Amino acid sequence: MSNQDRFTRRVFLSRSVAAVGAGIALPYVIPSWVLAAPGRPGANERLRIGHIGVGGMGSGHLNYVKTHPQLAQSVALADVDQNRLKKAAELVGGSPRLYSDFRQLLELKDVDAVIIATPDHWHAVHTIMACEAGKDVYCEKPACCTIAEGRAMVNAAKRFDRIIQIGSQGRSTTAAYYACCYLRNGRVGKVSKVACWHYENPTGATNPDTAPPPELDYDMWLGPLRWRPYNKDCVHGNFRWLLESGGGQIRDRGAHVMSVALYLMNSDHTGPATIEATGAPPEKGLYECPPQMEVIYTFKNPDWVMYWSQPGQFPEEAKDLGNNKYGAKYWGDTGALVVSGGDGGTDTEKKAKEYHVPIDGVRPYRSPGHHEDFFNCIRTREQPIMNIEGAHRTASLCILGNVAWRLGRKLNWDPVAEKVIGDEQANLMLYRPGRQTWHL
Amino acid sequence: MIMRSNWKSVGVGVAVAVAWIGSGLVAVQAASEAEVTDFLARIQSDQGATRVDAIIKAGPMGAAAVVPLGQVAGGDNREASIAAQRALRNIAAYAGRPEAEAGQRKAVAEALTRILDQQYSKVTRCLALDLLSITGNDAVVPKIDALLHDSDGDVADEARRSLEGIPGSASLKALIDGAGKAQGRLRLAIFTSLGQRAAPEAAEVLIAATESPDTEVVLEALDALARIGIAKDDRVKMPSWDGLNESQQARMANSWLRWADQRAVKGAVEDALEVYRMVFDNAQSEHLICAALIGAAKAAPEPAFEYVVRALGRDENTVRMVAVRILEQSPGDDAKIGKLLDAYRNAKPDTRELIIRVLNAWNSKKLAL
Repeated sequence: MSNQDRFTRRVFLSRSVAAVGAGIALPYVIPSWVLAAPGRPGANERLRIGHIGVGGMGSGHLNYVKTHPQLAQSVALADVDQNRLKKAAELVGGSPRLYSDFRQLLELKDVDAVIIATPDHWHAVHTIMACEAGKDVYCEKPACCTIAEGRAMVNAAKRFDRIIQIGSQGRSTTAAYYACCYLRNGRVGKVSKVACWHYENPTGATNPDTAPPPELDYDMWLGPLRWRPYNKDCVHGNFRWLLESGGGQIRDRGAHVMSVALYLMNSDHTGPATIEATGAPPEKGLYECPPQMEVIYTFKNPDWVMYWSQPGQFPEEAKDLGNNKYGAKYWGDTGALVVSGGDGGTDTEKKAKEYHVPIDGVRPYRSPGHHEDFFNCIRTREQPIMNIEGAHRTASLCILGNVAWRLGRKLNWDPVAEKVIGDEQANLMLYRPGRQTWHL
Repeated sequence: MIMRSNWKSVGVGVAVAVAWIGSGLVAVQAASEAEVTDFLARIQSDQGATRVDAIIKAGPMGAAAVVPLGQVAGGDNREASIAAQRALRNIAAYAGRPEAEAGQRKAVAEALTRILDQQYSKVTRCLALDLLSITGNDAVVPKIDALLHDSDGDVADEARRSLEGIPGSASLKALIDGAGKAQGRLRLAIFTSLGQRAAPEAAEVLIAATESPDTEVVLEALDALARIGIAKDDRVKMPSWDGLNESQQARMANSWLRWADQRAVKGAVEDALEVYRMVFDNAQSEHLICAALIGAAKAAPEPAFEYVVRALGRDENTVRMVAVRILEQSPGDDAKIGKLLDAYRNAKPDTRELIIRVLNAWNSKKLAL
């Protein structure tokens, strides 16, 4: 508590004591029992987690919870693939409740929060329905597949006052924090250019369409995604390489790299003014994202430009950094800084790691760790480091990059209204009707 | 000559001619028949680079290329099929440019309706429906509407999605008519489309649906009506609360709150407050109480104040924290300070702590000013 707070509190207390009588003890700190309540965990109680999607990324979350039993426990699992569900149950041990239909998991009263690790096209519906069921949510990145989805997720969180953390865990790394301190305290001057680099999109998927395997409920796997025939090259982790379900590297790892960029640039509540994209489609196979791609975003007030480049220009400074197959270089008028990675393995240059923020300097919020941050915020009801508004803005960059590419033209964007200016067709692509009864 | 020898069927060539003649492109500058023929050959090339070049340059081929591409998209040549689908996307995108010639988008949309017939593959038909959702207009709605009755449930649902996406009154009317005629899951899906469109014109058919003996039909209709935010109507039949299972009760409560939010937006604050008060006083789930508090504070801060103060004394931490945040963000005047101090007198220790926090926040704001 600052001295200012203490002063005003004493001033106020004298008035309030006069109003209600003397001798009332008023503690400064809210005791932990205040934070515990019927149906909500206290400060020292483990959170009870339901997991929706227990495959690739999902098993990573299961492992995290399992190795942090003091923080949380996995009490229920849901997946549309019976083999994955069985494997996940073995990983968790004990007897978690198992469901093919996530809606049954959401009905459980003894689940405090859910961790969603399903393909991107499910993120919005799962998150919104979880909020409507009263659950706090940790959802994998990118937050959403369309602008409308992201805004609906933000609205659901606000309607029910739910905590949502999106899985752009780069923001919670020490390196990202150091880089943020370095930039926000003006160590490179005014940043005018952010140049992202990332390796190419994969190509391929030449296997024929077939009937889905018996262990997979393909109808539920598709969910809100428009119908397409089953192809084993396009489900589970490979959903990433089709534009509608995954959106390619720009939406997959771009959600990490650009999330760190918006964090460093303190731009979580805004968006670009223009977006242009180029790239040739792949020569064969079902994967449809351009192997090489270049997207240019211009931002206004302050003015800066961001480039998303596959493969892009590998900066010399990244040579000795960890996780350097992708990242971004921040160019200011007095210097530059490289931040490699953007996900859990984010790294940055020594000068940022050794920088000491002065007493009166800018100190951004520092996350204790991405899962820990989420668990803490469930209790304090404060916004986590990758809250849904910021995550929606990050995903919007990825989405608009793909829309610009798909339409083959420059988009002029109004980040306040969240509309493309003067392009009706582009605006129609900001929302897509859900399949069957799956809706926002 | 080498390109022509790559044709898999003479039918494609015929289709090109017919499409070009029938495309109605007299008033729109169109690719010539020869250009389209050459383009089709490149789309079907064995060389990936040639196919990619054709895809990139597909846009100006326009409506004349749509039908033959539709045939290739459903053919046995896998890579040619994929290339044809990508080319169709580019043609739709090109026709939708802001600077496109008048009629170009309409011509492409009309051409896309020609590959909705059952002679085309399911993949082709579904792709065409998807592209029509971003190029379509009133004129093409009847052909899409017809597919609401398609024997393939996936195609029928894609037709519904397409109608939901096409702006304008014709698509809305088709959905409204469909809501009255469709059965099963498609009918429920049409209700969700009407809810997403939030069009008041859909109210009558949805109100009628609340008479259904099928609880799912009623709940989906109620959700759509909530999104529209219709005025109170005695014809809306609510299912018996005790007859619903817990999950259905939760959906119903969510629809009530959604309706209240919509009524507030429309200025019918009393309607909204009635629901918020009911939820606040009766709901067992903390998240519903939070939603009621948030909605009430937004719709009518003054009348909601009493409920927000009462919420400070509730057991649920989330509800208390919502109340604190609402109060901290609101302007504190002398009357409100007095009411908070009144509440303080009889409050539990933890509630007193929260009241102090709010009063401090108001004090700080005053000092800052």
